[in-house]
Amino acid sequence: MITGEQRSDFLKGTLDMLILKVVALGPIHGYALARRIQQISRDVFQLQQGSLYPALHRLEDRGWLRAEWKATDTGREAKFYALTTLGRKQLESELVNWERLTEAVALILRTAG
Amino acid sequence: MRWYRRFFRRRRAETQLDAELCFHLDQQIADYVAAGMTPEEARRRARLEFGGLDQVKEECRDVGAARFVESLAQDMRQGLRMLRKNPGFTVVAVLTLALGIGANTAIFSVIDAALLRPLPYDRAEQLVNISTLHLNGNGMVISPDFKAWQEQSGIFESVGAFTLGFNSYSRGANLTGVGEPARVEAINITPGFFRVLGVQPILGRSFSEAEGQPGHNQVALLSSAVWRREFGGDRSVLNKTIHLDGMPFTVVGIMPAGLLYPPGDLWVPEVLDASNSLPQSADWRMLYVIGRLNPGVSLAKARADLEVLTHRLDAQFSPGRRKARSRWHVEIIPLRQLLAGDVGQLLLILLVAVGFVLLIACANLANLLLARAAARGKEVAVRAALGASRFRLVRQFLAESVLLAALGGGLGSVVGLWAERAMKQLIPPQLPADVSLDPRILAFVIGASACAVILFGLIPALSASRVDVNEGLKEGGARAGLGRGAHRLRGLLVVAETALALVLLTGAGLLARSLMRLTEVDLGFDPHHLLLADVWLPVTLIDEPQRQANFFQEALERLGALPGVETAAATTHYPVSVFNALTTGVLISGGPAPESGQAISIAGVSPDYFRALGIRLREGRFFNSQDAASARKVVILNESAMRRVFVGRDLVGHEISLYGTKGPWREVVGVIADTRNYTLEREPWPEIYLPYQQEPSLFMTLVLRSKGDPMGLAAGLRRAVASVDPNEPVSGIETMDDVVQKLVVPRRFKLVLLGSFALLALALGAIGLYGVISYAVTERTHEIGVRVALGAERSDVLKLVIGQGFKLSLMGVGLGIAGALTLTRYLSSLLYGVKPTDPFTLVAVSLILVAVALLASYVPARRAARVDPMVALRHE
Repeated sequence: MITGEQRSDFLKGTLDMLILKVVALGPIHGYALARRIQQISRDVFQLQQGSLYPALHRLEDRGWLRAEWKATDTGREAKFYALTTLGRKQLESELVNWERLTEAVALILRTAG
Repeated sequence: MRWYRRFFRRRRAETQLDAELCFHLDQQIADYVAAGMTPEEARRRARLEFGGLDQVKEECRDVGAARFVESLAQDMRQGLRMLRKNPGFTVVAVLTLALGIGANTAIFSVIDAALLRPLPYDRAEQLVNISTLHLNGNGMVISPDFKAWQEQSGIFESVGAFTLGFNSYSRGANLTGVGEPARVEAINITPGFFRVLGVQPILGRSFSEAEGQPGHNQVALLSSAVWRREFGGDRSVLNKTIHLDGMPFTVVGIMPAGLLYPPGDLWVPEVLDASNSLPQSADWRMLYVIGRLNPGVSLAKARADLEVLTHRLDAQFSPGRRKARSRWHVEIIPLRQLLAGDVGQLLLILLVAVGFVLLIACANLANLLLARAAARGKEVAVRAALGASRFRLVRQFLAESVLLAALGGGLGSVVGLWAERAMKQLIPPQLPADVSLDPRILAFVIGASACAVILFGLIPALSASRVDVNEGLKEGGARAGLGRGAHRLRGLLVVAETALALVLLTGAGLLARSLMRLTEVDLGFDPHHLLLADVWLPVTLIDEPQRQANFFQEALERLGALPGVETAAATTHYPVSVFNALTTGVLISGGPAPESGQAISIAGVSPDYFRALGIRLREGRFFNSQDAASARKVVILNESAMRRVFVGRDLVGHEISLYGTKGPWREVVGVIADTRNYTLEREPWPEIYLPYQQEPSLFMTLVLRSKGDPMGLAAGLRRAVASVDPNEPVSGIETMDDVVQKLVVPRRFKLVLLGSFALLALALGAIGLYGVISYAVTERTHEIGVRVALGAERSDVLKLVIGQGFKLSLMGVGLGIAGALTLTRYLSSLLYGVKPTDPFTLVAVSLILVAVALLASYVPARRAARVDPMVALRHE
């Protein structure tokens, strides 16, 4: 059962997982991250910037992401996010959970159908 | 950790946040422009998509704060889980703290009530007690001095005085005319006394100055207590006439309840006139004096000024008096100090004792936390390796400490409430006993102990979090963590605990020895089956000795005929009580003057008195019915009088005078064995007994030796006295057993208090030692396994482990003995028959401590001895 408050937690957790997954590919700044998620999901996820940046700051605060100011290709300074050891562990456990969850949901959809 | 970095570098964070979001917008705009939009349109679209910029910023900023609260709650939850998972540790720690906090709060509250809180009077800090220190230490003031002080203007706003006793002859008066006759404590006060205190009657008025004049003084003020007890709180008693010792007095007012000073059930005006208040007067009044200092006058200045004023009077006294007076001193102390008496010292001793208990409690807690930090070394190492910051670890330990302190504080306030009720009786009866658990005090004690817990909670947290991650993980086991320093710290804590416990135990041991000594004291009489009752004849009979004697003779005859009475007797002074009459003027007819200055108690007794009390005759004879008023005057001495005053001369058959050369001369007819005639603790005092018929008194205590329960005679005794004179009240009916017991009770109470603190300290110390040894055993399991594998006997292992506890306890005992030797001398005023450095007590207490220490280390030692070398070697 996913109730009101839990739903937002659930979604927030999903967003966190997506961010971690994308950042795991290599250090990346916020704008590129937003674009990447959009592209990979073939525009299914219309990422709201309004929720992206608080999420990034939250993950950084938890110690799952590490931030660094670096120059981009254009030479301008941007804040790049990278995964920490803790973040990698977190991502792994969330992926396991996610798989378990989607499998269960798929099973229910199959058998109940 | 990030939240505070952000807190301190807020401005930088703010610019960075701006830059980050700005970068995002600029990139978006650039992309839209590249896709063919105009710059204006691209900017508009980008801003629109991004949403409320400030809102996003705010949410980003909130992350830190939310994170802090969230992780704090997490720390607390985890702390609670840890405490629940280790119920043994939690219970010991919380109980330890609660007992320490409770005991301290209770003692602090009692100290506040007894020593610190101002008296419930208007501008109470200006109120002082004034006394004259004579050579023999008597602090009472003679009326000529009081008169002179009353007339000064610079030092005091006002002064007032009272005499202990009714019209200076008798302690109190017989109240008649309202129901049963009753003995009340009636006291003469100067008319302005209550104005000095600033206390108004709740009903009626105070005395006017005119009522301090002869002929106008037949008025009375009632205390609330006596108003309720004798008059049922009836308001119509105002302006009615009551009779005190048969004399009429008009009730003019009722004083409020809770009046601490002066003593008494009711008050009548004292008349100080030329007959009793001039240096030349024949008969001065002895007064207790209070004053209200003028604002800004210090005690020292008041004392100095008053001393000058007093000695200015010296010249008016007779030459003999003048010389004695020149050595008198004036003493001024705050009224509060007078009322608190010497309870301060006892309270300070108890304060030190509970302070020790709290110290031990904290040391124990530190020990427990240290042991646990060590046991959690691996956990800490893992978490550090996973990237938990040192700050985060410290905070985790901190959360546990705070939880412990909170639980301990909560339970401690319950203990405090309970302990305070028990300790209330420490407050002198003349002070208001409305002790309440002062929230400020509770907050202070809990705060102090919380600080201690957090401090000690931090030591392991800090040393554990400084742990070398690699070492911790490599070593495996729970043994990772604390270094040699922490071990030494734990050992030191145990030594300190043992030392503190020894000091407390020594104190309790000394009190216990005192109590034992006191109960073993030879009273010199048989206190069982004795009933005592006081009878005071009215002051109006002062000049009629024959009627006084007749009354008591008749009463004794009727009492002797009561069923259940073995012997009926009367005395003006019975053993263990305070003296009524003393003389220093004893002379032997034709002999050298006895040792001068030795005061001798004088008691009038009925012939059967000695037999009734079971006092032994040493020489000569007891009094008998032939020793009547008209017969040859006789006396009996006690052995102390013989030995100390008459230096062992055999006086039986010789004559002595009690009051100088004027006589009358009395023949010594007997010597009796000593009794404890002045409290239990004083050595027997020299005493001379007279037949009451030859020296009648207004006051006597009736003494009945009963066949059965002495209290069963009380009703018959009242009836018998009433049958002689229905207006004669009987007061103070109690058994001699109770009288003796009452003298022991305060001592027992102090012993119980200090003793329970000491036992608490001992138990805590034992727990502390047990903790250290059993931790050491866990840690050395591997080493012990190797020893056993190499052929060490079980007994060797036992010796090894117990030896460690023994060493620690010996160090503690050594330190403790040194501490006890310096501290116990402050106990000397509480001791009886034992020196503060009593070697027996010290040795006994040390043995107890060592034995307890051995027991505390024996339990883990046995575990060590059972170590299976195979298991131990695999312990890694």
